[in-house]
Amino acid sequence: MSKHAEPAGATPASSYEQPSKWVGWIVFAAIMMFMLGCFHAIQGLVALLDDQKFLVAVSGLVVSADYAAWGWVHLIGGIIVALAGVSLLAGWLWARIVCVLAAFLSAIVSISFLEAAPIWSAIMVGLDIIIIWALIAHGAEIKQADMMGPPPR
Amino acid sequence: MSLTAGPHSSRESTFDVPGGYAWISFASLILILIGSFHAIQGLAALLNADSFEVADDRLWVPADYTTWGWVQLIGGIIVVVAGAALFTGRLWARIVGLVAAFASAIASIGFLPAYPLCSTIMIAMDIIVIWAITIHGAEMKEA
Repeated sequence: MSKHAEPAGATPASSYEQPSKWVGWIVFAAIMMFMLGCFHAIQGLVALLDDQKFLVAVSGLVVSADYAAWGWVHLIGGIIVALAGVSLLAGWLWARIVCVLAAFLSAIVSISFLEAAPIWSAIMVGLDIIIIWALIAHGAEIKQADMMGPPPR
Repeated sequence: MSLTAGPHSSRESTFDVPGGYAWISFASLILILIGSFHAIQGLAALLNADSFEVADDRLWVPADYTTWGWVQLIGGIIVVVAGAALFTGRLWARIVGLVAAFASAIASIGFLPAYPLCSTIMIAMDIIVIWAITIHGAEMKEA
């Protein structure tokens, strides 16, 4: 996108008022990560509390662990993903790499879970792709914002 | 991107409107649409619960359809109000819009088995609204 030649909201220019911190690819990626974490956590809770809702019995899954194990994986993974999203906003140096890895692992887990909740898992794989695209294709702006620190108030 | 408040430079695409209202108006309209969809789903749950794909204990968040109906209806109205407020482009309106889109996505996941296709479309619309507000929200600052 050629109109993003200058990062939106990361360049401290003296000729215009600094946009607030609630703009830019960092915030988008962080919100998407947080949403992904919430979705995983809900899936984990459903697996732990009421696994009759899923479409297949445990043996129908690609990785046939029982739903309690899957539930804990989703729940703890979701919390980790949400924390990674928050770290992205906090400006942690490794946050982008950790978030890309988290999205990657989330996609693999969702694909393995696909028979149990097909539409939901497909949505989460789509969300993972969006996160990876935002962090990598627009990573330069995020990195620049991290290096420049918070905008002057 | 609109680095100056003056006329847009030749570098910007033809989709940009001087003043930056385009993307925030887009996000506002989509958010109002999302809220309307939620309200319609809420009314359907309250008035015609047989039209859904599954019984209400099969939802990902299992509440009965009456509860879900009120949650969707009132939540939908709140999202519509948030979308209308977003037309102003102020910072608080953008934050409220982000929270509304996020809550709408979580609610759509909980309601997913009842209306699978509709819930998926609404989650996609939520992501688009969040993208429009976060990536293009800066353009409203000079307006």
